[in-house]
Amino acid sequence: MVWGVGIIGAGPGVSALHAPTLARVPDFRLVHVSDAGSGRAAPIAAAHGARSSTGVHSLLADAEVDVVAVCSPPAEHAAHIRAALDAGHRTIFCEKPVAISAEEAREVLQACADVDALLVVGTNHLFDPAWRRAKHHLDSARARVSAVTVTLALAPNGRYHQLVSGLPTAPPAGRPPIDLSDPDFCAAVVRQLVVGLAVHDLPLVRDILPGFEKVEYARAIAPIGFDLGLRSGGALVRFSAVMLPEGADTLWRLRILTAHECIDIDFPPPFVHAGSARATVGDSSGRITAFRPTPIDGYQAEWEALAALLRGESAMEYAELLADAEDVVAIADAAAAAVREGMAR
Amino acid sequence: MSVGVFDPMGLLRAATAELAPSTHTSTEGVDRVHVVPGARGWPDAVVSAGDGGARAVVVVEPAPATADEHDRIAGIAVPVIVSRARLRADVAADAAPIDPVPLLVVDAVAPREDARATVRDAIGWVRELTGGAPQRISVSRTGRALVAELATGGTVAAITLAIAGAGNEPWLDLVAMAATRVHVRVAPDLMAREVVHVGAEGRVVKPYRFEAGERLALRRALACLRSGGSDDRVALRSDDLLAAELCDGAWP
Repeated sequence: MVWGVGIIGAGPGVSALHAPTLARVPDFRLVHVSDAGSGRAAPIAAAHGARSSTGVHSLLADAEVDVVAVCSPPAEHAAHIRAALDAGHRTIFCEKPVAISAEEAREVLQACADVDALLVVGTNHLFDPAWRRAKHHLDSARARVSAVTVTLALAPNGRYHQLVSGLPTAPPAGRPPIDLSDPDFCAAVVRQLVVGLAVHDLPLVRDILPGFEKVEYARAIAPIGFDLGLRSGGALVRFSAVMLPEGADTLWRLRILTAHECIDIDFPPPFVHAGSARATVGDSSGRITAFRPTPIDGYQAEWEALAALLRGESAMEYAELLADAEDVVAIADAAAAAVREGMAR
Repeated sequence: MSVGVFDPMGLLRAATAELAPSTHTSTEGVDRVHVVPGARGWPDAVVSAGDGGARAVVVVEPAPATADEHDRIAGIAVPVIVSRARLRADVAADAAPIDPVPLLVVDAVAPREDARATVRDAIGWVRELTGGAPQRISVSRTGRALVAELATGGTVAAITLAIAGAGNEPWLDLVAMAATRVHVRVAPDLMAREVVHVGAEGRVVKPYRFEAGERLALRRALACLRSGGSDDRVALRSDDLLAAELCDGAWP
């Protein structure tokens, strides 16, 4: 069976990410795209032989839409999930984060659970085959994690959009540089970056170091970025991200340090379809084991996970989704507080 | 004119031979370059060398030293050059960033007995790549790791140290995040000292520095004698004291 997908949202995440990804997953076909009035849905839909509309009602009423994909701005995710449920839809893909507050996450996930809705949250790194392989290695070694570091040096996404979409993508909304003298502004920016960027990897951290304890420090970094230290599962995590206006390709590395090994997972830049991350394990003898990458990346894998749910091959784990969402919000809130506290000293 | 090298332990024997005829091995200490092993208590040996008429001192892999010990060697009138395998002057020069660096991250791994010295070298890398002595903003520790937040001028640096099992050798891996990133990986026991500049046009891997660290240190001592330039004491003191502050007795 091929399931029809209706995507709410028409930003680069749709034109350059999910629309091309759906063309790689034969279980799905794009049938409808909606925007909030920007007009961007029409060319995306036309490029993929789908219908377009404004708002959510036409999409949710479209008889060919079997799966609702929520790819609108994060602040609208929970409301759009509820709208889909209210319209009778029971299969939902939602880009991360599922909600921007813990309360909202609890409410919307409970609403999904109440009607046995199938829900996949698009945390693509968690679905990446390389992560799964590295996690398996870590579990097999029964090694205690000493520390985790996450290092992001992000190039402008526009260069990657051009590689996966034939549609012109709108230039990014101009972001003002961080005013490092304004504690409230810095705190707000860091919170937003944790919810929107660190959300890619905080579920992976929770996967190996469950039990968020506290944010040790947090700081806004110019031009746009953050440096964050936190304690989880008894270990320390350093999470550093900078968005740079030009220069080198994106570096996105998650590193796990144990007493005897260093496990590196190097994710490809966002949007590109260049296969899975590259995972390597270095041990104390100097030996480096590189796991073979796969052609399937996390974007494709998350849609295949949804197909598996639809076929009854796997089961929903609402508690895991809620725990991931609550962790991200808790860390984001604590990071914002730490930024203010650090700047007040 | 050939400079004598007084090196009873033979730590720079090969380096002395490789720099001949600029250098030669000497059995006397007066007016010679003295080689001091870096075992605990090395500052006393440096002071003795200075009092004994040395022209210069090369310390090989100094153990962490206290502020008092650094004060004692600050007073001697001859240059002191330090050989640190994880922080070579030539590799640091190769790693000099060409773009402003808002954020620099250092990941380090070391067994307990080398933890503080490794943190010291991580600090040294921050100092070398930012051009200023870093200041501590915060530090967090568990029994198995440390994460420290430092600041130097316009750069924020984060050092993560994870404690490795006994028998492991220390290594460092750092990324200076800028339009042209700088990646440095140093693992002396694996003869690894790689510097890569990654920019819009691709990766530039700096030529491997084949010169032995000991020869480099001795050559720097000779250069210091010729030019009268500054030596390594101020930098080592700065790195040592901050490392002590960050480790706070958790590791030797």
